[in-house]
Parts: sequence; structure tokens; C-alpha cells
Amino acid sequence: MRLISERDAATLRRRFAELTGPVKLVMFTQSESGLSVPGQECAYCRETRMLVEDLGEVSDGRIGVEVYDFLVDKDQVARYGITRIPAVAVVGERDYGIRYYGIPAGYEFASLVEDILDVSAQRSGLRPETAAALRGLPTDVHIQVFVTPT
Amino acid sequence: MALESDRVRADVVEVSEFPHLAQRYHVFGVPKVVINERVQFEGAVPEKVFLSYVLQAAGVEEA
Repeated sequence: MRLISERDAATLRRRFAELTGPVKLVMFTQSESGLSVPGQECAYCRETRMLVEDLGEVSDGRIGVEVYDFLVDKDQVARYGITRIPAVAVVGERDYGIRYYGIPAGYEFASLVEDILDVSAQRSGLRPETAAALRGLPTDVHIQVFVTPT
Repeated sequence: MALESDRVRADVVEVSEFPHLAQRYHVFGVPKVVINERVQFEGAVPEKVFLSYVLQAAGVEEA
């Protein structure tokens, strides 16, 4: 564990032991080759990658981890519709369109953990009326939640 | 909601790393939700209210 504390790791290990369905974190970063592209610097890419890899480890591999380079792996960038980095897509049996941009620390980390559990279980936790209304949507909906560091 | 519907996708964006987004969407200290670049609100809201905003953004409901 490099970023997750031992105490948090113990709690997470217990929660992730319940994971049954497929779930993976697909992360987009920038290679640390030392090549700096103006406007493409990535302040927290390395920490985000370490956090994602820690989650893979603390789940004993139940959470899959894929890491791609934003500049090199263009096919994956297009496939997941990634617009900025660091980015983490939470993917289950299929891609539900859940993305985290920027390092998911603080309160966002708790949110990411819940998303991992929900995606694996294919359970949204929403009321049936809400779910029905969402399935009847006539157009695409893009929700952006902007958070500031806690 | 993204889990429930193939039409819905959701981004969580930490704006301190993308200050141009904080400026563009006027995000100051409180979480802000923007839906289809049209509907926006701040802070946590009950599920029914959130759904209402989603339906407004999708053109299903009047504001």
C-alpha cells in the first residue's frame, strides 16, 4: 500500500471481499518519460496511478487495473471518451460511463469505493421510480459533478 | 444514474486540478452539478430533485 493507510486497507479488504461481479479501473495517465508537452502536464497522474494500483492490490485482484497513456494509447482514449488526465473509468460487466477526472482523494475516494461496489453488483441503489424514469429518457444525459478538495 | 441507464454518463471532476473548468462553470467551494451544459445546481439534493433536474436537462420536464 503506497497511498492507502494500513487501517483503511483493512476496512477496504473486508468490503472488497464481497465483490462478486466484474469491475475494473481503467486509468489514463501520461508516461513519465520526462517529455513535457505544454498544456498536457499532469499534476497528479503518478499519485492517481498508485492509488488505482493500491485498490487492485487491496482487493486481491478482484478489482482489475488497466493503465493507458493519454498520448500513446489513442484507441483506448477514444473508446472511453477521455478528455483530460488523470482519468479513471469504473467499468463493470459493461461501460456505464462513470469517470473520475483528477485524483479521487478525500470525499471523492469514498464515492469511488461505493461506485466500485455498485458497478460490481450491478446495483444503482436508486428507487424503482427513478430507475424507470431514467430508462425512458429520450436523449443522452451527461452529468458533471464538480468537486473541490476537502 | 449512469449505472441505471445507457443514456446517462457521469463525470466526477476535481476542479483544483483543472482551474479552467472551475472558472468556466463557476465552481467555488461547494460541489456543483451541471447536466447537459444546461441545468445546474449546487450542493447535495434528494434523489427526486436530482431526477427532476435530469429530466429537465433531457427536455422531458419543464424547469
